[in-house]
Amino acid sequence: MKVFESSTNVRDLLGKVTQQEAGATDLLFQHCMERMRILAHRLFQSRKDLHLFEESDDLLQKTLVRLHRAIHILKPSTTRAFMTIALQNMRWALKDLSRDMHNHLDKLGHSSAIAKAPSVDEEPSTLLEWAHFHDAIEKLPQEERETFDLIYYGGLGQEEAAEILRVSTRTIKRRWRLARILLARALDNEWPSME
Amino acid sequence: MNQDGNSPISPGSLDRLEELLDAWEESVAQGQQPDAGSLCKDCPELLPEFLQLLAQLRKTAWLEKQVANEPLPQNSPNAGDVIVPGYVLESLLGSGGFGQVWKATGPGGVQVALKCLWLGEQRTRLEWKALSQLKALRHPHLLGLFGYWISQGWLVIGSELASGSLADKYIAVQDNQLNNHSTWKSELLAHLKDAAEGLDYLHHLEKPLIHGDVKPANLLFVGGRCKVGDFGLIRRLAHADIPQAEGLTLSYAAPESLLGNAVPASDQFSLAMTYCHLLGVEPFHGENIELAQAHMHSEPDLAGLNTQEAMVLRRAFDKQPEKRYPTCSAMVSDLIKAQVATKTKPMRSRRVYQVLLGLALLGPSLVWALLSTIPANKSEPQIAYSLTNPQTIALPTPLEGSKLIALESLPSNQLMALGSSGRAFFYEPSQQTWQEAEVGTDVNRCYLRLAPEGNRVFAGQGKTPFDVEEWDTSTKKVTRTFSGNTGLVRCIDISKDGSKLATGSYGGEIRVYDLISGQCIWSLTGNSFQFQTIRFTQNAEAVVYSAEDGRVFFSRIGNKHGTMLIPKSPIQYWGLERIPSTDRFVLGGTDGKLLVLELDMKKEKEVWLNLGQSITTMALHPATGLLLVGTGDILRSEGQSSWEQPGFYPVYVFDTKSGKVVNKTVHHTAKIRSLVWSQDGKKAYSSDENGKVVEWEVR
Repeated sequence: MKVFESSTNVRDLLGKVTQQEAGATDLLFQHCMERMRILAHRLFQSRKDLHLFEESDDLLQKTLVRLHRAIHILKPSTTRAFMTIALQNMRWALKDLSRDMHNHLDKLGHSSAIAKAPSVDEEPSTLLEWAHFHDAIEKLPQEERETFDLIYYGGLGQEEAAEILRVSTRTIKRRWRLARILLARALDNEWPSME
Repeated sequence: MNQDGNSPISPGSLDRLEELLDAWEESVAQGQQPDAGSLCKDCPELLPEFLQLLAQLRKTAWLEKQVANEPLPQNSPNAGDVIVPGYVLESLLGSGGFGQVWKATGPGGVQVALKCLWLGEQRTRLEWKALSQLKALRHPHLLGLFGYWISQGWLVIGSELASGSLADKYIAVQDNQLNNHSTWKSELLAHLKDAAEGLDYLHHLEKPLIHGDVKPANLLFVGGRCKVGDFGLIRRLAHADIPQAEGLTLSYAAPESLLGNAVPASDQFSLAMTYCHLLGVEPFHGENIELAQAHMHSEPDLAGLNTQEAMVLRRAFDKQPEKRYPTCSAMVSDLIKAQVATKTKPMRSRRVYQVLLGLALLGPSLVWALLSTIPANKSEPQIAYSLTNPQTIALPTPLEGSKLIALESLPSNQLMALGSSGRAFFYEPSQQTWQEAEVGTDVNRCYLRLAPEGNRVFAGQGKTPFDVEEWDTSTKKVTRTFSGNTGLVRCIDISKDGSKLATGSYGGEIRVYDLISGQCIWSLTGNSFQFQTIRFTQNAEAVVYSAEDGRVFFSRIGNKHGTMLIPKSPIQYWGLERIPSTDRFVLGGTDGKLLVLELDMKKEKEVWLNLGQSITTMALHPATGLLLVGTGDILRSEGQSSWEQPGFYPVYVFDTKSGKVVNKTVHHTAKIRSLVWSQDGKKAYSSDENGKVVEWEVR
């Protein structure tokens, strides 16, 4: 189900959460689920033969359940806390998903997912490269990671991220830029990769 | 800009760099094409750092696209596609950040090259407008372009199909053992003469054009003649009215190009650099920032070239473009004259020695005194321990195309090799034959290490169960396995007395096994980072090891934690060797620096040298103390990829006793994967990511 398509909708939603409107948190959760589906879809695109992998949807469902459980157990009280937990879990889930699927495909005897050394010239192209990518985000400094989580995993605009983190848009812009620089450095250093 | 202390950017410059990045992004947002050189005109010292940051941002630009939901290319071209009417794609010739180049068959069966650039709808329109300038260009030494098409966001450029580049030619010449220096130099000059004519044509058009990216890979062969390739040309033309420092290759860039003020003579600088590199000469040293500064401020180091050549090249490398030759052809013409002049020298030398031979009758001491006064011939330095006579080893089918060939040399001077699949093979150099190990063809092995006594070799597995296998080198059979690791076993060492085995894994574990009992006697586990290299100390009571986050540790076996020798940084250490009979360790970093580290903590680590190219692997010969050092990409400061693929990946021979490089080979065209000395030290072997394995003679 596609709940939100634009950052404008996210902004409306954040307003509802702030005003503690009934059901707003659930809507925020659904937004995160939708983002998760989009990001997982990108991951799947890195395998052209993924149609061979019959259990891929099951694995995705498991990660969604895990995310749902984390949010409901921890019961975050602020929008920022909610997004931090949700996005962190999404990042972990995507990393595990890419590694699990890579290992699963190997066990099934499908061809190796890595055909070349990781390249940061473009979007990761294999499951293992995606795992490295999500892992590299984990290692960013806290401020940059939080900003990156909101913009990339959360699909928020820079203004919405600034509102949630209570900093200026300029600060968000600079943190996002620094996160990208550090990410480029981190992924460059992944070489040589092996499986 | 807080960067966890890892940034190479000096703290005082951070604010200014932030402002520069802000200004850059603001200009781009306004639809302008900002010029890095102009933005840095008040702070030129920050230009290299600024370019580096831009390059890093460019690498992650796809994130912006995803965030902005910009449509990505939906249908990448495939073999058999008819991407433009009448042309069928046959095979992919190459790809990179710029797009793809395909061999295609056109009407009447004519074979052509089609370059497909994904530009998005808006950029496609811009490039299309700029490309119209190319239509009038016709010259026998410019690669002929015959058409341009736009198809669903792809810009397709049709050109003559080249048989290869000057870089390919250089490698082929080396592979075929035709590398007579003088013959190769004559051939090279003939090709550069062709290229110079093509470049001069561009420079003397009514509206002069600058190629902007002259380098061996862009000088192509069609019908045996050299032509200037179109890639850089097109990029240049796309922004012909706005000089900028984008798109050029740092190693070949003129000082003014780095400041965004390229002129036609900038191509001459790059052509001169091409000449040097294809003769194995590096006029400027250093990595990214240092290299840019060397291009702008240092005098070229032209050791290895004769005096006349050096004079010509000094002029071509002049920091002031107006002091260079008026044309590229004039420069090449003087290089040809310099070579002709050199050819007459040996005759004079022979005459000198004939005279000296006559003087021998006067007494040995006088002859010695006279010989001592003859200056050494700088053009042919006598280098000890050179790697020479490279022979590419034909590989068995299962190893062909393997990107990750790991090598180890056995006491019988046989070679053991693992391919990407991890299957193990043995090479007999005297018969040039390969034999596959009889067991474990389904086991994935990724790393090899010979025990010092030579009777055992250890292989780390790259897949479950991640065991370490012990092989008997005489029977070539697995005798034992050591288990416990939960990730790829990336590094192994065996203590000097053969009693202990140390492993480091991608599962975040360091383990030490007793080789007598076969038991794991110590481990560090549960780390979230991967380990890359490991070596025992001299007394084998401790290990030194490196992690993926750049840290290097020292741990006493039995202790729960390690001592950090090198803090966290973006620089990773893929090379680690202990200098024999000492507790000094040599580390090779992805920043190209070779460090020496002593376990005496009072001593600071020392940088021995900077190769200017990332270090990917190292191998030490225990008897001679000679270190083989393999290289990878170069961090570049601009362009679409922050790791510049230099075209050549040298193997260095480094003398750990004198602390000097004694030999550099320019042969491999892909990152060096594995290096090993033969046990008698008379041969060395190297493998690269193209799956090429080379045998070298050591002289």
